[in-house]
Amino acid sequence: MTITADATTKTPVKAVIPPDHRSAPAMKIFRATRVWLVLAAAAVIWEVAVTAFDVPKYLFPAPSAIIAELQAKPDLYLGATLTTTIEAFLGFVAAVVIGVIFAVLIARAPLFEELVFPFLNIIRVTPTVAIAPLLTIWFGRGMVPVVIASFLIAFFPIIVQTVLGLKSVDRGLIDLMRISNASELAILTKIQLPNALPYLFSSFRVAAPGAVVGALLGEFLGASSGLGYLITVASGQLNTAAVFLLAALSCVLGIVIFNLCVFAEKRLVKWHPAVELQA
Amino acid sequence: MSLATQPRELVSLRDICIVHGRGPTATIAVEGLDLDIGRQEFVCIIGPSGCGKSTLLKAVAGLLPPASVQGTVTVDGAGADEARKANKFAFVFQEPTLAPWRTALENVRLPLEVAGRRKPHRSPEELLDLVGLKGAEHKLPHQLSGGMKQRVAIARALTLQPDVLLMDEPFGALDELTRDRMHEELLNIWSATETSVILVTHSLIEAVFMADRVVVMSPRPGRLTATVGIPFDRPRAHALKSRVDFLDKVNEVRTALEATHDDHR
Ligand SMILES: Nc1ncnc2c1ncn2[C@@H]1O[C@H](COP(=O)(O)OP(=O)(O)O)[C@@H](O)[C@H]1O
Ligand SMILES: [Mg+2]
Repeated sequence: MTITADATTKTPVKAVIPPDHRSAPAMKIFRATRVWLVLAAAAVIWEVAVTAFDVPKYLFPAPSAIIAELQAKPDLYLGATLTTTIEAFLGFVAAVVIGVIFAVLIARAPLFEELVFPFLNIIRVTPTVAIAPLLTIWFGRGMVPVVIASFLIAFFPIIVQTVLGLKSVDRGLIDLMRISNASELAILTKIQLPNALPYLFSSFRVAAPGAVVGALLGEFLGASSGLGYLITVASGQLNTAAVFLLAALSCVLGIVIFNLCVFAEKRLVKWHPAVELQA
Repeated sequence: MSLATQPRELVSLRDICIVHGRGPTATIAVEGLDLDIGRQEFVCIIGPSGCGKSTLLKAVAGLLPPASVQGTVTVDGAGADEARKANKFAFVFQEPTLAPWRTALENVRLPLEVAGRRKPHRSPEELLDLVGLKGAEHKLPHQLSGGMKQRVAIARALTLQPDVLLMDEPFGALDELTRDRMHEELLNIWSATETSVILVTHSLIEAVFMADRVVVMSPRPGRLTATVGIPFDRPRAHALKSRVDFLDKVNEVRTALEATHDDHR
């Protein structure tokens, strides 16, 4: 065998490795903080604009007024945040537990799917705003209707995604399990549930912030504590700075919960290609 | 163990007909097929695509709905379902079909976990070593190449020490060099086990290189139209593929395969 003798007559070309600016320390710090820089800049512009144009505080309070509101009654606001967090958390956990159980029944028992799905769909398309007053009538003002409202919003994305995850199993893997004489329980626990895990986590990205929205809605329509309740009180008093503060606290709560879900997803579903891409 | 006391055949298929679906839209995939496979025999099935090769393997393994399979499958004197429950079969598909959340080792261990009986004669670690994957035990499937994944699938298939290894175009998705290497490796692995192999392929060279016997299937509805015995000594090495008598055998199988095509024109 002969190889063309170009190597002797032509100087070999060397590949140039592009320099890695991205991992320089200054660039790293900039990338980690740029979101906060933008937010801070927006707050400064907001503050300056409100002061310069003399916007009334009840229409559009400056960031400083909102912070002053928090400093004035920190216990009230942080206590309300804690209440809402607990209610949303309980609603979310209930949605995960019940959602996964329902999903397993739906994915494994066609009859259950046929009989129960219409009811689930009716509850799903009925706006929670319409259901929440009923919850207050049935359970009184307090934590229970709020947790249920939170549950109702978080439940559906979880059940839909988990059913998809349980059903979209590689047929070949199921065949291999049957050939090994696996029990139905083993097929569920060793193949279907692990396969559904990434689907479950991706549903959390919708369900977890949804649980917060549900809790706020429940408090809004019938409760005597929590961020949603305080919003109704503050807007009744035209305390716009308090409304802004409460909205900001709800927003922070949603962001924290969303990021916790993303963090858990990255830790627990390392094998999933979609997780690799985001990492 | 005296051979005289045992029937020569391990797997015996009689009058197999396989129909997918019911009513006017039903497809007859296989019709009136007889086939016997001996102990430790290596049989390759070759035939045009869509002729029912995959369907036949699934029927042997008891993976099709009972209503769609007519005829009798016996393995070691027992029915197919009984044989499946006794873990007599193992399957390797064209795709590796690994659980992506399990490492190579955990994938090989999976049949043991779910069959929940039989102490393995070879541990999952040994099997991975046997297929040349020592050192890759703790890699996840997406970190392995196509050839490595298929080796994991082969190791997994051997975990329960099957009597019959069913392989459906197991090397079809691999590049040619990897495929050539896997041919020799599979023969080595097979000679170290007591397993019969039924391997479906549409590569003539693969069939003639691996098999004791090549059987040719007709276009759908599939039935056996020819059997070609392959007499070459074992162990067989890669060099065999360029020998004249090897190429003669390949041509013999090719002629048989072309004949089934022509009959259906
Ligand atoms: N689950 C199924 N339902 C209906 N028809 C099927 C099914 N599986 C295979 N077939 C049909 O049966 C025939 C044989 O298919 P297959 O066994 O996959 O062929 P091969 O493996 O030889 O290419 C084809 O015509 C295919 O369309
Ligand atoms: Mg096929």
